Amino acid sequence: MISRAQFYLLTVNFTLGTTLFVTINEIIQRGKRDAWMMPLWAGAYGMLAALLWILLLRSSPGKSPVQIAREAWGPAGVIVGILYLLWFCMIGAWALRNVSDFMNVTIMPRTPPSMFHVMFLLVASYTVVQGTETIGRLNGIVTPFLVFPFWTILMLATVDWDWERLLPAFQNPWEIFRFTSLMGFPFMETFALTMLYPKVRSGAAGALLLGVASAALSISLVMFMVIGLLGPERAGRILYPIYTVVQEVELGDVIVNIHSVLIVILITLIFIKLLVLLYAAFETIHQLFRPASRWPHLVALSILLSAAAVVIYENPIQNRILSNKITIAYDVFHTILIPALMLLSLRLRRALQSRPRRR
Amino acid sequence: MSRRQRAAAAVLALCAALLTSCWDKVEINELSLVSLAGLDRDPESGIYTVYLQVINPATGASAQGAPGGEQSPVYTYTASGKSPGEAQASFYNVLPRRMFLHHAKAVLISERAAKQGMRDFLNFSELQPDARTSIPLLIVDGSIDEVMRTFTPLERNPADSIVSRLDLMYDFTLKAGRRIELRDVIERVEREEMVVIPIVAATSKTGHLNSFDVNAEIDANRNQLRVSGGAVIENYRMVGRLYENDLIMYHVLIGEKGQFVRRFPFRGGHITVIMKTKRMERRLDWKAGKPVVRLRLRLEFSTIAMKEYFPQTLDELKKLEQHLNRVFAEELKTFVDKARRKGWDLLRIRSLLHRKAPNLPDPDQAASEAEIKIEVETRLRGMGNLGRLYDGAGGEP
Repeated sequence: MISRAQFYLLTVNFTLGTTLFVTINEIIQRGKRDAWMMPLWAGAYGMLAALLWILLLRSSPGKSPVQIAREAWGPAGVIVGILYLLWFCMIGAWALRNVSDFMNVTIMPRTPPSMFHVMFLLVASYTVVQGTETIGRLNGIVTPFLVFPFWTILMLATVDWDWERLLPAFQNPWEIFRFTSLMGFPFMETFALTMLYPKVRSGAAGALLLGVASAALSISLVMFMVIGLLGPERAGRILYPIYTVVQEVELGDVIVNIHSVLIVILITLIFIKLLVLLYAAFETIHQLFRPASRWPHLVALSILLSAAAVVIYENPIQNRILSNKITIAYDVFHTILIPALMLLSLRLRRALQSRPRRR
Repeated sequence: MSRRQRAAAAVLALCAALLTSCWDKVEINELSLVSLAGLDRDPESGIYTVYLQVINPATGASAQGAPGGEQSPVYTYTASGKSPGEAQASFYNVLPRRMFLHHAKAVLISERAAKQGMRDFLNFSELQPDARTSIPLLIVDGSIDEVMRTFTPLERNPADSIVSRLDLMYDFTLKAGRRIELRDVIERVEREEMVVIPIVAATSKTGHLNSFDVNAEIDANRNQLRVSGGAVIENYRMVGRLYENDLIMYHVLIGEKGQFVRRFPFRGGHITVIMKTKRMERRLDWKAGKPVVRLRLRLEFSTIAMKEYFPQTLDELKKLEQHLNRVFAEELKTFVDKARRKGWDLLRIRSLLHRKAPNLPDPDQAASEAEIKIEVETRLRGMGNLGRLYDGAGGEP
């Protein structure tokens, strides 16, 4: 069992996870100067989606979505569980690939990508085996080391701030709604956290909603700063705008090249995202097939994920299509359609069951 | 966990700090630290030439006075190819250590390449994950080959020498701006604005001198580099030049903060004033459907350089201030008009209109029609060491 605060921090870090790498330039390319508004409405949508999940989880307290699927649809629910398993694996592999891409482009160009994948998975697997409490506690311990350095570095970067980069503001108020896949990645992906939801002592619903809201605010603030520091023209084109912002920080002759600090923060954030996804996949296997042991299928999962990470996309262009066009379909299917259907059939079944009693 | 296990874990964790990565380990002895990069493209053959000035590690502070005599503080490597990437790849024909661009201090582009357009260079530079774009970009007047092979006295590393001069020029002369880095050029051009970056040239030479000769020569104006003037960049192309006095006015008008010296006509003679820019406000009004841009400049001046005249009473001071306000505003206006006649929007009126009135149908037209009004407000703040000037005969006629 983990506490409400731990669950909240997990939600925030999970949502920030790869977002700070992958979509920032894409969002700015679409939203230009007003791009910092986009995470806000997408986050509001994410909270709405989270309300749906909370509704579902509350209808069968103590059960995860995978268990609810079995309750709602019996043996057919196993298929839903397997679908979730595959989906968690897909996002996990994607996150892994993003981290190896980032490291290869920025500071470690010659290290084989699989090395990053395997190392991440090794540590994550060990943590997952230790159980929910370890995940919550680990995240709680590392969070201060992420938050303070991150914002301190960004604050240091504000020496290059220029308000003109944010003007003219609000030219096309509707333009900011054009990028719908932002709802899927990162906000609908937070569905993975519902696998942890039953393990929270109390008040998980508020923590989940607040977590999504805080993450949306953080992303928005980061983007606001990136735009003010790089300008929409450059930020929309550069692959990793946050990295570039920090790379260009120069305070006197002493504080230069502080981007390595940022890299540590970003890979830790991604690690937490991977951790939650691996845990979700692991729990799904556990709840579907109830294996007696823990390690064998975790090793299998690791092999699957590390292989999937290599093949999930070939090049950055495919990555962009994946994040802009394809994931949203998967996300809507897994996090809106299936939960809504489950909720509907649960309600229907309960209504049918209670009717004869009344007569 | 037992105590021993804990101790072992702590020791292991501490050891992690000593580890370097396996594939991407970086040995400082295997790196060539690039301090200055130069780029050129021959317009006829289309051949790119890249120059890299690499720091010689043997001339660090610890190696001063080492046996073996004077060594060159930097080495210039050259490579050519049909594209910057090709040129970069052929560096290893001559360069024995891994290229390391993180610590580059400045980038030079030859004038002929800049006149053709430097978009491809800048794209190439932004594509490199290890190249910082927060370093100054300069245009080379004359032969870039010569500039890249010229030593500088006093500050022995030419890149340090250039960057240090740019800082000093900004602080004390306003002949260089702050926003002259690669990233500024990219940002401005992408916003369809004009930008002015400094020009560097080699001074007259007395032969092919090595580092020892340059540092042993007393005449420091020869055999070295000179930073002066500004190249006007529009759309990644160099379209013209600004000379020293125009450069000051340009920097004042775009709101750079710094100190400069200027000589104004005054009572039939002249007066030299050291001024400091304090504040610049731009306001956009509309008059009969046409934009009117009002520039209000606030400057402070000191008497330190005023050897010609010294106001004694408040009234005299007020007259002097009013005189300076009027004359400087006129001079700035003349400069602006001259630039606008060439079609240069140096004040970035177009982007001002874009920000303040984004729905204009034809911003270019509006920008060229815009009326510019300049108001200057000067105030005496600083004082020289004299309360009144010596007034014996024997001054300048």
